[in-house]
Amino acid sequence: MASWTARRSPRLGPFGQLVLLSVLIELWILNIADLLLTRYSLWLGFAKESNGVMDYFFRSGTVPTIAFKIGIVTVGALLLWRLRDYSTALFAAALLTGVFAAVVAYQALWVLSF
Amino acid sequence: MSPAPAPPAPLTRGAGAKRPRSWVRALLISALILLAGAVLGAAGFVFEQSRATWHPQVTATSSGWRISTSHGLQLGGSALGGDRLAWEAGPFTLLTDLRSGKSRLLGAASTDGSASTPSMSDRFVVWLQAPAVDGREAVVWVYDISSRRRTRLEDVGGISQSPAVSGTTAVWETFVGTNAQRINGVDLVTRRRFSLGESGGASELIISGTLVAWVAPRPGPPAPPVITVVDTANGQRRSIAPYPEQQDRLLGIALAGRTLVWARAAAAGTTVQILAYDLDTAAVRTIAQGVDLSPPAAVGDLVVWAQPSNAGDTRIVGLRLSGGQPFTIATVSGGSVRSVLVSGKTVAWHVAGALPFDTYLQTTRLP
Repeated sequence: MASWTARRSPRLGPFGQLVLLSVLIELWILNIADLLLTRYSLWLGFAKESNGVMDYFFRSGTVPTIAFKIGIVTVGALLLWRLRDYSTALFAAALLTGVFAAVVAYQALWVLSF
Repeated sequence: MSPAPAPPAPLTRGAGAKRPRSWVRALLISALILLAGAVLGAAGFVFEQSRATWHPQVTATSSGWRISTSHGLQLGGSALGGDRLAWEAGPFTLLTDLRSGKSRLLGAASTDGSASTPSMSDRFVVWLQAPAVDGREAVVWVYDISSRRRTRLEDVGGISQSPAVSGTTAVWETFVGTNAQRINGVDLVTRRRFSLGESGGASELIISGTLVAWVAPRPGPPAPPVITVVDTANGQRRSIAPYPEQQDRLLGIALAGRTLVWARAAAAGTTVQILAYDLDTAAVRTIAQGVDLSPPAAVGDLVVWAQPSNAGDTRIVGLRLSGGQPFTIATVSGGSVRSVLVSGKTVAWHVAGALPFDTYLQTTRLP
């Protein structure tokens, strides 16, 4: 089992773990930016939340939305940090951060274009 | 004898010195990941914008702006409010800033839906959006220019007349049951709602200040339509017959202060009369008469219309009801002027060319 894990997900060294930590911090900040931009876009009346789960929380109110959105990303980030010995954790964190950065950049440009 | 002191440890580039450099490299790598994602998102935005069909062609002319659609969209009704022009193009409702020439998309009905002619004041734009052909889910939308916020005003439950707005007051027609229609209104700032009663099925609805007017057919045997004017300040309501003959046609109505203006086309021929009815004195007078006059537009005491000239072009003509002679605002050569608009010191007209999509809006400033 150990050899399988090592083969599938090589160990992450101290430097890789530093990268993972900074990527996870970025992910957490991007999540806040995504929340704020989505909230503002919905308030403007031009956007519609296409994620059914988030749509439910946005309809429920601001506090449940903040709690869920920040909570789930925080838990996800902590889980990835717990798996910091494996390079797969870094790959997953980088992929998530890249996707969040794309979404936030798109939303920011959309709001600015108004 | 005490032992010799240990020699000082040689200076090394220990972990303490290495760590900051590792942090910087780690931050650089994570910044690259962030940048890659942001570039991807920006590229997606640019691609989406380039594929959007609503972008109009806005070109500066010597007197103002010339606005036309692209991608074969049909130019529909429009409204002026201060230095802005709201207009309809196919399923889209757009707002063009006449100072910068920049346009903004306010609404898009679904592919099989439609948008009504918008109405606008200095601060608000209102329009009706019907997502389906039968319009059972038609919605009145309002856009606040100052906050850039769009809100759903009401589901009107059927295809009804375009909503209208003046200042902060919006009015629209809504269905009550299956056959009855009512004029409802709201103060868009205080959110206070009101009703002006049954409309009888308005074919045109306008508002100016506290006055709301609409055109509706008379109940019973065929007869000319009736124009109802309600003063929302005191609830005073009056009905005006624009002409006695059933065969004539009412081309359009406008409110110039406390004067109701309408264009009436004779049943036979192409002669059009523009009449002004003083709501305080009930005096009516003809202010223009000619062939193929456009429906009038008004602001304050100024009435504007389009009038073909003997030279083959069309003149945009203005007349102040307080006195004076008609004056030419602009001359349009080529195409026919379908409608005119006026707000503040801005005048606009809608020109239709020979081809269905060869239409444009032209604006100018009053001297």
